[in-house]
Amino acid sequence: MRFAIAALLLLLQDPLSDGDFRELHARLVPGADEKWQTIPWKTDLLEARALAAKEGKPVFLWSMNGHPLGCT
Amino acid sequence: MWDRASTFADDRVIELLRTKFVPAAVDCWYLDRAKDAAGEFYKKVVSQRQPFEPGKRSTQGFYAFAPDGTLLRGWNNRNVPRMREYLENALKDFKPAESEDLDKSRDPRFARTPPDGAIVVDVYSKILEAEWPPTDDEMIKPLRVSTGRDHLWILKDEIGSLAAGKFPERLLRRIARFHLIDNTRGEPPMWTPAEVKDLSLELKEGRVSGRAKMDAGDRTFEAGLAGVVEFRDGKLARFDLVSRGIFGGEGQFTKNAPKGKFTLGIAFTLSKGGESAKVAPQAARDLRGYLAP
Repeated sequence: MRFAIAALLLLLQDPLSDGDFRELHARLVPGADEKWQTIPWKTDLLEARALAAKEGKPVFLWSMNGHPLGCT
Repeated sequence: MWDRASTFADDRVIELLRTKFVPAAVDCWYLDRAKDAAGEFYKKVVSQRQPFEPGKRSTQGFYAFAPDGTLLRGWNNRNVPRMREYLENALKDFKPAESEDLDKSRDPRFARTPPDGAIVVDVYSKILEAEWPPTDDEMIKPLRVSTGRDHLWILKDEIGSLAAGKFPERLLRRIARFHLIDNTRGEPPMWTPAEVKDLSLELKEGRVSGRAKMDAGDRTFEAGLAGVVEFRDGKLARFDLVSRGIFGGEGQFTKNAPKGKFTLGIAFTLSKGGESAKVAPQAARDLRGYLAP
């Protein structure tokens, strides 16, 4: 019930204020220091393969429907 | 989103991937279809794990392989101890060897780079408030706090319109149809043109304000928009936009939405570049539709 009332108020209120904008933007944009971002991901399969051949390493490929780094 | 928060937040997994492998991440939708060296190489690798049957079997998963395409380990399980085990076992079986160069030219139907002069914008989404049913499912809990990610492309002529103080209609439609969506739990359904019921936005002295309402029957989103657009030395220096509104419903691949309506927030900010900025917008699978919504 409380959520329904809050939702209704949100809909009826004026468009986002400057203060709302700043607070929301800061809350939504994550920092660049999340652990998964410290992994040096390549986004091109053949580039990764060529680098692996040069460095004498195997490739680890994370393949998803929807790009793992940029979607969902 | 689950993997980013769990599997790839494990210190041992991170250490292995940083030091012993060349890690790569791809959207299999493109590689399943591309008729080029990358597509053929991908099929060579994944078909060692299971038969390649597009439309019947997904090629989603994790693959550790040698540069010559020999699969060392292939799996689709996010369990962290298993990830560590499979990575370590792959290393034990790996033997460096010569591998031929491959043609890097791409099937133009599935190559995706921003059009000339376009700018990449990072897009983040998050459920801000919701009534969640109780759960003990450790696979579901992270999805409730996850951040959805995508990119928006702003085209060269649209940048010109912004510089002239006008928010281009085409850009607004692209934002509404393809980015005012709930992608916090998986690949989201986009809005068709007919499902965008109301859309208005004003750019005045660098300040953006507006509203959007989308309704697909079983999914709805009504939101306010606000933001800042700034140019310095003739270049777009700031494109910060937020949307906050009430969302209802879920898509085929975004199950486990909150019950009833919930508050969804979406933020846009200029990308700082780097490897992940090369990832095309999710909706750019239909490139023509994305560029001209």
